Amino acid sequence: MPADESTQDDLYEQAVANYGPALVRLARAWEADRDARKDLLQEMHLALWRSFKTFDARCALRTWVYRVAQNAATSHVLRSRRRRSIPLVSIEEIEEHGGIAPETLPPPSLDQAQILDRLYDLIQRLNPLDRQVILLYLEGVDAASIGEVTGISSGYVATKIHRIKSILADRFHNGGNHDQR
Amino acid sequence: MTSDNSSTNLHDLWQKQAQSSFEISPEKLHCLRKRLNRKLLVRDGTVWVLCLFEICWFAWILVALPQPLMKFGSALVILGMAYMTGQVWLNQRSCRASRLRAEASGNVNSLEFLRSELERQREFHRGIWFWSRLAVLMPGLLVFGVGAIMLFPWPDSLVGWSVVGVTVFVFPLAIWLNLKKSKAYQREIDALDTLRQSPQKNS
Repeated sequence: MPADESTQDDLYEQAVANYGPALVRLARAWEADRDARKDLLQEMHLALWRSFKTFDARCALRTWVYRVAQNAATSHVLRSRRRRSIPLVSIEEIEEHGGIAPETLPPPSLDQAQILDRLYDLIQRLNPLDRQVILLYLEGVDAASIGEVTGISSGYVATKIHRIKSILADRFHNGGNHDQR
Repeated sequence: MTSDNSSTNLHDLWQKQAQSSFEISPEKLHCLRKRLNRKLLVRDGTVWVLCLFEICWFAWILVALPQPLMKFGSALVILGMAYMTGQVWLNQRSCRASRLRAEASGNVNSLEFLRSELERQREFHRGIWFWSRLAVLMPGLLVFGVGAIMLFPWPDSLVGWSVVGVTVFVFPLAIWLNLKKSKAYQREIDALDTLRQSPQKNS
């Protein structure tokens, strides 16, 4: 049953309270440009608020929020791809080192901010679906829930996650000693 | 460091990263929605005005110029533009439907959403509307251009030659570029379908 306006506002505020910071991270991962990122974040919030008009609690709030946000971001990336013609690659291509030139690999020692910059850079090169998988993985969402958000089978998500772990370990383990902070 | 340790560290780093906050109140969102609706209205209105302007211009040519081929060409272009205006209306309706779908996109998983977006873009470049857009404008412009070449001596006939040139050379180029684009979209759709139908195939 569609929500009335106050329920819509309440659901939106609840979603932002729980997932607001995640939305900021997602926006940065989907858009490198600062100004365009602000627009994307605004689009995500608007889409989320509008979506709650039809929220029927058939799926978890988290699944709903991630779906709406990622779909808004996907539209954004497809629009900018038309303008900028950006080549996007898959996790598999990155794993085979085909997608990223060797000179873009991170140097052995990096501080946390640099690691994050490199991580965002890596994510922004991925095609929309693989980008969603890696982002949800980093947000701590399990394979089954990633499958629910993306529509990819959880088995295949697990395979992708295995590849992501291997890529991340390969690229960031030397500079990833941030647990010593 | 093992792969699991490394990814746990990255998880922590990712989730605890310092970032600027972003807040937007429901009241501001109401305003944003209104602004978005106005923007869409202006965009749709501009297309209608342009179509109307073209129709009026060719209607004036139909009445004012004596050359029968130009008159016939103008009449064909007017019919074509009228058809196009109808298409614009249908497209606006489809955009509104798409906006409604986007509102409920929490019910649509990412794979389905991405596929429908790619399909929509493929149809724009290859679909029946693309071919009918060309089909309704090409004959009218060609006849109009030939009529202008016959009516005016060189260099006044340059307009006619330009129209014929655009029709003969630019339209086929546009077709080729659009088909190329649509094939690229189709490849992406096929890749998604492979993912959907045999999820373990690539693993």
